[in-house]
Amino acid sequence: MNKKFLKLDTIKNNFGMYVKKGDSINCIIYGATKSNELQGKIVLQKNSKLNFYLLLWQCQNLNIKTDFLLLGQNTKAEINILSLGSNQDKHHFDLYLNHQDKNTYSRLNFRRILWQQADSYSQEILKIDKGASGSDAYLSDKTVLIGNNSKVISKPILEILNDKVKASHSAISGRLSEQEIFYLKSRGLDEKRAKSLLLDSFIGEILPADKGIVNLIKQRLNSYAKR
Amino acid sequence: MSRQEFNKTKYAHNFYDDFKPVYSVPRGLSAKVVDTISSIKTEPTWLKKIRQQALKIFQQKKMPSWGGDLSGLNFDNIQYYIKPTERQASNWQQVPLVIKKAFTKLGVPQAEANFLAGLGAQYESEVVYSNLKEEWQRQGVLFCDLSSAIKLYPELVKKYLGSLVPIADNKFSALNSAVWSGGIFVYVPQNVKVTIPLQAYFRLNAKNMGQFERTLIIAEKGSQVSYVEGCTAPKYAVDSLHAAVVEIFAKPYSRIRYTTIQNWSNNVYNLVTKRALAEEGAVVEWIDGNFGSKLTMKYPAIILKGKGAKGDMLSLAVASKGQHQDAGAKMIHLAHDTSSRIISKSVSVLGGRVSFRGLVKVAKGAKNTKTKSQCDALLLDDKSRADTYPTLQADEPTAQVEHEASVFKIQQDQLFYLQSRGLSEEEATSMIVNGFIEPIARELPMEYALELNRLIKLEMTGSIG
Repeated sequence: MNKKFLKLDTIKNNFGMYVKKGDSINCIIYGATKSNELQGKIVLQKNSKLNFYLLLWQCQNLNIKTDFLLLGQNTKAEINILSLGSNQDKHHFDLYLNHQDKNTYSRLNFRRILWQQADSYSQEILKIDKGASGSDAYLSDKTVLIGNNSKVISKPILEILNDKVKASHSAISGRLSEQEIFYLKSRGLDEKRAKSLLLDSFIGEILPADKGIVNLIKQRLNSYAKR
Repeated sequence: MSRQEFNKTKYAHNFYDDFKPVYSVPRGLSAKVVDTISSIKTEPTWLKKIRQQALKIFQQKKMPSWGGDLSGLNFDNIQYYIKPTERQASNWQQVPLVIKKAFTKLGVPQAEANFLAGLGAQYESEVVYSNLKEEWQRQGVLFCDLSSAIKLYPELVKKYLGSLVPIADNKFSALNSAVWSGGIFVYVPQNVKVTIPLQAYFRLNAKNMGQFERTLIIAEKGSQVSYVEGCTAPKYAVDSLHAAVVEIFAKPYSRIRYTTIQNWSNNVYNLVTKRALAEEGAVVEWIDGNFGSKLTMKYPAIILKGKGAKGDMLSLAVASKGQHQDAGAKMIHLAHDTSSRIISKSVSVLGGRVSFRGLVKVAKGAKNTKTKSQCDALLLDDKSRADTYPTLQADEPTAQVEHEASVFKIQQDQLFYLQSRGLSEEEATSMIVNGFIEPIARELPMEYALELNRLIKLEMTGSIG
């Protein structure tokens, strides 16, 4: 599998990726930026596979628009997005995931944690075309609102033009569960540790296997938690 | 139901009455038409002014660029007012025979006798019959057509009319405010519990007709009411328009159940604005069934304004050949400890399209709000389409907002099992669909639930084999 690591602040405006027939690519875009407007287009050809990670923190003003086009049969895309917002960060995501051919598979996992006055907006369109029989798509959008003035808007959209598919989405936003915190405290953890553990598990399922990146994110999470 | 019976199922409401109204305005919309409607109704000056103001707003506002295709809607070809009878009846004997026959075919008088506290029946632009059983009259419940209510209880109506759906809310609410006629007024005094439903039935008969009823429901503190409405029209080759406005006020600790089953023929544009306001501790339950029509654009909203208010929306949409149901629900949480639930089920068949368009908004300060929405779409063939367009906006971090949506098809193993038990493919499909919509059907009054099952079978006719 080809691996690509890209720091967010090194990408200027547009980015594109072509996953060629039969190829497998593991792409991780990560990091911080003061202000960035990105437009991306990612195309998957027949029998190709993409593991895509967009891991963001300390982004004051961010506007990302990305299209994922599953053009060929038997393509598989796993898209994981993590957005950590704090202070007065404003994040805007416009994601389009289009299944155009048969037996295509996608998972879009979006996790947000927002502190202070962070404000996040997302529109995620999942479209399955008429010719994409046998496709399987799932979109999950979860947000933890920690800051008293944090806000989130989610628009998870399904457009399904074929009946021989599996397609669903779920979106949840709110505080960390009081019951889960209570349980962990009853097992001897203090509140801070309990919350930290819950946040770790909240993002754990979408992080890449790369230890360096995971450590970076955990450090960032700890520094936010101390505020 | 046998295969033969199944295939014979027809749109039972597709009958046309050869009926001459006592008055009708010419086609097209103008200040003169609006004035004529107001004059016929001998309305007060304040209402005349509102109508003229609304007409100007309607003319200024652009057609919505989202939702469904409205390009075929020609406002100049619509007849905006048809007065069916000279006066309204409170006894079926006084209703002209042709109209009475039409409502009898629809089963309306029978339902009134057997199940209802009161009934209003609208034919074309006016309510031709309304009656409330004496038991409820004695307790101070008001149930009549809205035009009569303006004359009988002007201050009460003036206080509420247009306060929840303002004229300028959207193009079609402006149109309704300009040319409305008919519709029902319900007022339930404090602590009165109307334990059996009130019903209104709206029938469109003429070609190229517009029906613009306006319904106002007010439940005072601690009261309770269940209001049911049904709508039908015959099939024509030319289009008709239904643009209603419904405003519902649930005062503190009241409980309102609003049930509507709209079964339009597939030449009707159904573009309605419906909204409820729930004050402290009030409960609004909304059951919304959408069948037929060429295009429905309907997004009923519950505004949870008071602490602890609760909103519940059960929505069902079925789209068959040539139909687009762009329906949904809105829940606006403005106060703390409010809760809401949206359950939306849709069935698309024979190339029909159903779009769920929803909004859940939690305002800053609406602490400890809980809201959940669930949309399930069933696609019965490869020509049909299902979409969901939800917007979830949490401006309050203590709010718990949940949403999920899925698109299904009927699985071969489900069909195989039922067929192995002796059912035909049609019967098996029909049974699975009825199971799919059961969470909504079980909340309906018995006769409506039966009607719902019949309608589902009807919409699916020709979908198999």
